[in-house]
Amino acid sequence: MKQRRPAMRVKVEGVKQTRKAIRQFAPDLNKELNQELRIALAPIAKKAKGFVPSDSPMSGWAGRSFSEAKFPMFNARTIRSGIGFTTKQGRTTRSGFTSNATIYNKSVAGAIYETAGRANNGEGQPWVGPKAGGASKKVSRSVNPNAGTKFIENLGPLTSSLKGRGRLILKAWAQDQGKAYGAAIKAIDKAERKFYDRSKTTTFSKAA
Amino acid sequence: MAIDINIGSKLDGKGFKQADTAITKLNKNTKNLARNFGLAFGTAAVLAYGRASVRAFVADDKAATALGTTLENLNLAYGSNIGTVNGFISRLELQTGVLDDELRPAMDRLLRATGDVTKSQELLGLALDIAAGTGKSVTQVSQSLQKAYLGQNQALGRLGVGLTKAELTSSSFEEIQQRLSTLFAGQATAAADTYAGSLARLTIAGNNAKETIGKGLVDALVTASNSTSIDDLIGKIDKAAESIANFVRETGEFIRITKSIFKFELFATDPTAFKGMGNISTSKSSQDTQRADAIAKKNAAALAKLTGVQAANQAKILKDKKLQAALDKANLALNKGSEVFDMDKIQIAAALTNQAQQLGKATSSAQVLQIANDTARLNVKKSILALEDAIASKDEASIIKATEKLNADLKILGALSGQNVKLQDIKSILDSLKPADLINLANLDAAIAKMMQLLALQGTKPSASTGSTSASTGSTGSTAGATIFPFPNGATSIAETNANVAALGGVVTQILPNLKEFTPNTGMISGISPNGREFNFTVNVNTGIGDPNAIAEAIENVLVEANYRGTLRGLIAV
Repeated sequence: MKQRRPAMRVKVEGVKQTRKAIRQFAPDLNKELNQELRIALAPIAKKAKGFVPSDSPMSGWAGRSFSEAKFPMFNARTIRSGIGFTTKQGRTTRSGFTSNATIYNKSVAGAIYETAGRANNGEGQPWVGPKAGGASKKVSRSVNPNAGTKFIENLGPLTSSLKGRGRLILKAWAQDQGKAYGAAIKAIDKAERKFYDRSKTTTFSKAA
Repeated sequence: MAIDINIGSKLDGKGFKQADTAITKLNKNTKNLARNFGLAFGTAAVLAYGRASVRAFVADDKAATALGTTLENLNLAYGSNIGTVNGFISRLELQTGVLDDELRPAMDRLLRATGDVTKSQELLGLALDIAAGTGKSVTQVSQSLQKAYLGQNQALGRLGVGLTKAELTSSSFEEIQQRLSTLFAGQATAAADTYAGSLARLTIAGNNAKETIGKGLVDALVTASNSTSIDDLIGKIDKAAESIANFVRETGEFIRITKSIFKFELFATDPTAFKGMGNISTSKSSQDTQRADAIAKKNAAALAKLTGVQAANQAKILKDKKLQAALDKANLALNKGSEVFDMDKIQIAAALTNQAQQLGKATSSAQVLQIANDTARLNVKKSILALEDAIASKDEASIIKATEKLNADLKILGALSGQNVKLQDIKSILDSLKPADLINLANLDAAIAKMMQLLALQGTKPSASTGSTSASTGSTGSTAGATIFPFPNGATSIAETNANVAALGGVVTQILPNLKEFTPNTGMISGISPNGREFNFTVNVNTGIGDPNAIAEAIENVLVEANYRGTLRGLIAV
């Protein structure tokens, strides 16, 4: 029987290694990928920034000259600056998954505005009052039993998306209806495919 | 807390691979460790591996023998056929990842059907491709090919190779073989390149190694036991087993005897049963240990002592540092003290100034004496400081001068302390304190009082003069109603009076109520110029250098105040 010698193959395992290989051996592909991801994700971040109200939804949440408590005060500028996206490789999670790009809302006040009301059916945390014992942070210790509910009501409704319910980036993600996701996935697949195609015909050398 | 939308998430298998590598590495290290410590685990593993190796060698040897027998039966065991077939199977095994345990029976089967080594090799290769493509076992495919070669094509249909019944029935075996070769070309090689194929190939390499090792072990046992053959080895192993059984039996007997002597239950239940026995029978090794312990203890004590000395030295160093810090602090305080010293100078100067002010307010001789005394003390202190400064400056002239000054001040102070002097003796002290008065008001008051007395003596009133701001009082030229006083010393006219005054030399010898013998100080009153029965006075006030307007204003104030007090009678034109 005729013996066939297997062709020399480039086999890159793992997403991180693939991105790293693209970055090192095909910088033009990496640049192209980043550009396409940027085009896909930037509108989402921009739209999400537009959802940030210029003033605090409640006067009591507005920033002031002195600090009263640890609860982060509403500051539109801080929230807007905390919204963005990255085309860098994400960290590998405990379950072994890693992301190729991320849209983030990293400010604490922004996260509160984004997600407040997702739990407890939009009624806020269970009220126990200021005199209740324990140190749980999953209960409301306000003097006003309806404080949590009023807070959530004033923030406006949550918008559902495939990535979860929210008011800023998740709302923008939902309104995008998967266009950005499709474009990003397409860009990633295209870059990987081009890289593997190139690996069959090209001798690689590490980029300077 | 951050909210993220992750895009293009994929499973990164590198972590799992790393974990697998790590576990493999750990396993390997553990085995190495066990081997190094010579644990029974390592021995058991080696023995188990050796046992498996021997078994694999036996099985492989059996299959190889069967294949060789087949070749002999088919009259194909000539030339290099046997070696060719075995070599082909070995290569095929490594290339495809199929065990020779399967390949040899398949080859054996095909050889019996075809009676041709080359054809059998072709069919075995085809069988491997079909097996890889269909997922059937090599044994099953090779049986079907054998049957097909012998005319039973239906067996191939049951493999699901993609040939219809019509094709299988109407086609010859060569056509069917051609068709199958086309359909399953390269399947075995491709399968071998997969991960599973690689693992299978690795397994094969391991099994081959096992077989080789097994053969080596058997040979080694034969050689080590000086056996001539396997049968001889088996006989010796039987004898060895009997010997081991005897040994175990004797060991049990030994334990029984030991139990009767030492009461085994005691040791089994009371762990402290042997307590103290080590001290009763100290072996040579334990003596060495005790000696080493003693030396170690001695060294530890020396080390502890050394550590103590070091600690004491450290404490001393710390103490010295503290002392140095205290000295530095004292020096700092001394420096500050020098500043205070300067402050002393300042305070002395302020005190002297205060004494001068107090002197102006003194109303009795005792107060003046006290002020003089304090002033003298302050001067002495001041001189001491000046002398210290001079000594510090190492200037001989300054030192001598300061010493003289200090002696003089001490002399004055001593004189004051004895209180054997009159006020006049310390006048120089007070004079030095008194500032130069802009206007000597006392003299001025005295002069004005004398003038008033003089006017009263003359029996005339000074006429009020308006519109004049001169300091001199002039007559208005009117004498109507004026009282005429007699001239002093029996003079009948102003001219005689003046002559008398001139004869007196302007020196006051006695002040009488009628002012007869009074002659004003010529420095104070330049002259009396009688004009008829009136006098013109020119008062010169020794005021030093000053603002004329201020002087005039001061004079005016004095006159007005004297008028208010009633000490000035009559009117004075100012």
